[in-house]
Amino acid sequence: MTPFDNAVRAQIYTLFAEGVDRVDLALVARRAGWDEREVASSFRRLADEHRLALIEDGDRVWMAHPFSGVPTKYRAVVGDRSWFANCAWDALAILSMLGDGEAIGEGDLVWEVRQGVVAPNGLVRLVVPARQFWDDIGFT
Amino acid sequence: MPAQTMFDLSRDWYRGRLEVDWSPPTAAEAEAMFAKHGLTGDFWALTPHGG
Repeated sequence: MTPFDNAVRAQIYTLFAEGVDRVDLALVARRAGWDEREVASSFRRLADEHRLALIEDGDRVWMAHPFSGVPTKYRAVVGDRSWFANCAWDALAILSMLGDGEAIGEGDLVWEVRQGVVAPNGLVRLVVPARQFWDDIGFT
Repeated sequence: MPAQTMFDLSRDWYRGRLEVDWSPPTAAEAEAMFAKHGLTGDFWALTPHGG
């Protein structure tokens, strides 16, 4: 990846962390004052390196783990703010990045995190081995 | 794995992710991160002899 790709990746993550639900190349370019064609090329390189997953012909971010760029049934809630997550793990991961709160799955509270302690501390089952995560990231 | 383990792993895994100079871990570094949280074995292997 180029230094520009690193900057694009960081801009994407900053937008998601700010609470932007829909991150596309036009928004990234506009926010940073970059050329859209260069951002589009960077999006493709980042996707090729599995830093992102894209939709809409590569113009929009589907996943920038742990954030989801599309509505899902999983959310992380911190205070009066919330973020879509790709799965229950990612909802917890968002809390690990942004602060104490709740991980919501399928409309129900799944976990609370307070000062780094998760409750309830139930078991989570993963079915895809680590080396196969990106074989089908949507399924994973 | 316990949800607490998943959270603790996430703290390490996503540390620095918002920074421009973040770079992904190598396969060996990722395996070491998994092992730090007790996640070992073939399921967590990323290198030919790891896990």
